[in-house]
Amino acid sequence: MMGGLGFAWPWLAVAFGISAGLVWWLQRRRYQPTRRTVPSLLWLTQTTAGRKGLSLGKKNPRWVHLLLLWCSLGLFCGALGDIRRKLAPKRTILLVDASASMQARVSSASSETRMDRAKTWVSTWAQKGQTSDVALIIALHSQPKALGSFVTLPSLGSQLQSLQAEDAGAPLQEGVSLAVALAQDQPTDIILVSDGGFPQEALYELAQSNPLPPGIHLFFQPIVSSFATNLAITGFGVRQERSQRHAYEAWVQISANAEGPLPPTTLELLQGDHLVESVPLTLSLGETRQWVFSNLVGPGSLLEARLQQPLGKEDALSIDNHAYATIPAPTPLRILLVTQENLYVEGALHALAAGIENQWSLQVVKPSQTSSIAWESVDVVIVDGVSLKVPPTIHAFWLNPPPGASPWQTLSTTKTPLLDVADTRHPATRQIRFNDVNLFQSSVFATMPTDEVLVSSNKRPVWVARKERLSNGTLRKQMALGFDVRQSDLPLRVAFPLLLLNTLDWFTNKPTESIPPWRTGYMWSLALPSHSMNTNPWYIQGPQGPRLLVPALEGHAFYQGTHVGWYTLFQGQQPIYTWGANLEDSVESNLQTVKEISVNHTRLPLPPSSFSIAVVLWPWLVILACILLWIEWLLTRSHR
Amino acid sequence: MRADLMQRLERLQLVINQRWGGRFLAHRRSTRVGAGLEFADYRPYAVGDDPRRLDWAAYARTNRLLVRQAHLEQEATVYLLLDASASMGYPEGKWNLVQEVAMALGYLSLAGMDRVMVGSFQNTLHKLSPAFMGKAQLHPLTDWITAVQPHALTAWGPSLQRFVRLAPTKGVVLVITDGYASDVVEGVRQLTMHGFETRILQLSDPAEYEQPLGQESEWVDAETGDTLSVAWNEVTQAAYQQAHRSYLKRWANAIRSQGVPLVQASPLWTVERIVLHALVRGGWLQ
Repeated sequence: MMGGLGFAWPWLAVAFGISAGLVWWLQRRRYQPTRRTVPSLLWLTQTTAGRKGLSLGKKNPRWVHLLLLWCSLGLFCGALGDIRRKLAPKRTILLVDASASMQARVSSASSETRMDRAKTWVSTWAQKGQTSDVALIIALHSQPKALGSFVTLPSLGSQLQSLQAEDAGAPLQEGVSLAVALAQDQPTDIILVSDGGFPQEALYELAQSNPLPPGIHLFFQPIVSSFATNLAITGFGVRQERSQRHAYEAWVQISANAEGPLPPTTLELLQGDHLVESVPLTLSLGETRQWVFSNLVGPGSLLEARLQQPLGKEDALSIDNHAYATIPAPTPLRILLVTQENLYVEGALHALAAGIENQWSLQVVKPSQTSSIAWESVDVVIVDGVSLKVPPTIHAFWLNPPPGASPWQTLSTTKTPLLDVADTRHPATRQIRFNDVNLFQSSVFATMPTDEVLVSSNKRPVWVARKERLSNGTLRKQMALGFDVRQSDLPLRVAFPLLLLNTLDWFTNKPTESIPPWRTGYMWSLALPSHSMNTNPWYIQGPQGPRLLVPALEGHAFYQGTHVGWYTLFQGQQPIYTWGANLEDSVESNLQTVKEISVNHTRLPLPPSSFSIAVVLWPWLVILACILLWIEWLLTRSHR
Repeated sequence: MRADLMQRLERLQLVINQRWGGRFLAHRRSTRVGAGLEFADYRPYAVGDDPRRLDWAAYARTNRLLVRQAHLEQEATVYLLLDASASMGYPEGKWNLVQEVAMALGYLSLAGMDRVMVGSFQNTLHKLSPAFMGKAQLHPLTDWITAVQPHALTAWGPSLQRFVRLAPTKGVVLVITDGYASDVVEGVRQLTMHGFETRILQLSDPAEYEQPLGQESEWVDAETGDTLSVAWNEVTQAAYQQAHRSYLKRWANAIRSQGVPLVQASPLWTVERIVLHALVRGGWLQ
């Protein structure tokens, strides 16, 4: 009431108090009986049976009349307050949670979702307000967005209709910041309408952010649902098996969140349309369990993990019952080896290219033959201790580059160096140790600021990686190893072919470990095929929409997926590859609703009741007051 | 009193049925015998009797000297007893009417050569006026009556018991009251038992209690101070009127059961209507 009537409230209270007192005084005067001296009452008490005979008509207590008059007065004041309130329309920003958890059903027997319930609350709230109030809705999903500008409450319906929940989490702090920015320092109520599924970090972030400007108040309207039973796939990934690179293994993580008994569920793994494995689940409440499905073959095929539940016993949220991943297709790699004669390198490459897991083609040429080579026809060149007349424009691996004959500047030469891996997290150095490698001598490179030093000797770069942008916009990677492998015992070690394999995988962006699918709600950096001469634009088609043009930069396209399902990258009309996007958000999959949110140890208050006698209601209030006055008059008349 | 009323009153006479002995010759037949016009009895002649009163015809028939005796016509004593309790002061004008009626009856009695004494009583009879006789005593009588003001409670029993003790002679007692007392019968019985000819004029009317419909008021008993909240509507008005009628009827029956004539009049009437019509019709005056 106070919030609803705004500044008019104190004045109305004073007016009501004064007039109520006046009515009480008048009423008292009105019912003050006239004292009248009569000759005698003795005969009356003797003749009649007591005094009841003359007390008829006094059945209605006077406080009933006073109460009716006060009610009438209150209604009049209410109508007056409503008119006054038009002078100061309220501004409200409805920050409606549109995260994945809002798609959860509110009961097992209905299809109504929490988002439906939130919309109903907003609609009811808007109906209670007065028409001059203005509001806007911000959809609080992965990218909080205002669904329009400030409009009057009756016009809020279009914004409400366009409100849809996404298959992703919601950044609370960003949503509040956007609401504060839209408030533009004017007195505004921000009402967070949510089931409260925010991680603690988000609340901490909100508490650490700048305090709300004066006049801006944050409220929390909980969307409560007792149906929170949910089994969710909170992790799903595919990786190449290291022991046999032609096979893959899938990893699935499932969490159980429930308030009641869990429905009988089966975990199914599908490759394409074929069921690969089926596992009945016996999870207990709050349990998280992982499964690994090994020996998956079929590069390029699509994997789907899903939870199958009996009809009618489905859990509350369905979007986390499915997870998608792709077994990456091997990329054909054209390798050019420029060498005078190095059987160690040539042999290792031949051995690697012979495996079915690597679709490599190897071409060995002398340095004198490179003038006839079209670099566009090759993906990677390995330059083994020679100089090239025409510098390559493709990925290049320089082995013992001669000083002045390569992009690499040699600072000095070190004799019998002791090597150490400087960057153990780089894909090229994965599972390789150089501590016990013996070699005769090595060049020490001068590095650029963007270079990555992979192996060093006494902190002097020996193996360096470099990325550079070419004039045509493509990204070129180069790597230089400062010694001749033939003057070391490296070729005798298992690490040597592994070094070549890791290096070539790094050139081609080929994942070397886990191949995780993308998570919804995050910005995706999608690797584009290297050396694509096609200048057609890049498109992405998601599970729910048309193809969208996406920006491409430095060999990557950028896109923020918001729905669970399959996505395909197109260049022009040509599909390039497909990948899956999953929710994989334990916070969103935990469907427990909260009734209050505390920020900085302060509970967010419930939104002020929108009890305000709406403008369209004030004539009815006056009519109601008149009816009460009429009833009071009837009761008075019954005394006569 | 107005002159025309006085003239009309002079033509009337108070009807008195009983006889008592008086002191002066007047127009009322006395219980005493003597020289009068109306034959009463014979008695043997005794020395000293006036020889003119000997009945010689009787002597001729009986050969005895008999003296004729006649009823004496003397004055009667009229007691005007005013109920001066507080209830007689309400509604306004009622006590004035009582005083006017008392003056009219007093004047009428004075004009008829009767002795008039006035008394007022509340819870007792405090004082009895001196006897007034002759028209010339009208003003002292009026002064005495106007000096009385109504107040206090009514108690008929003690008041009339004291009156009986104070009254110098027997006579006719005219009581003017509103009848709002609980021991009326007891008081009346005191009078009749001691040989007073008693008559009661009751001035009471339901209209004394009437008030506008819809008005709520608190009735205060003029004597006891008791209160009663009254919401005056059609229902309560009808109930009240019914109760008042019932009370008047019961009161009249109680008085008449003692053999006392009762005239009921309204305090809203005029003195002429009460004296010249109601009392004449009630047999008090002729």
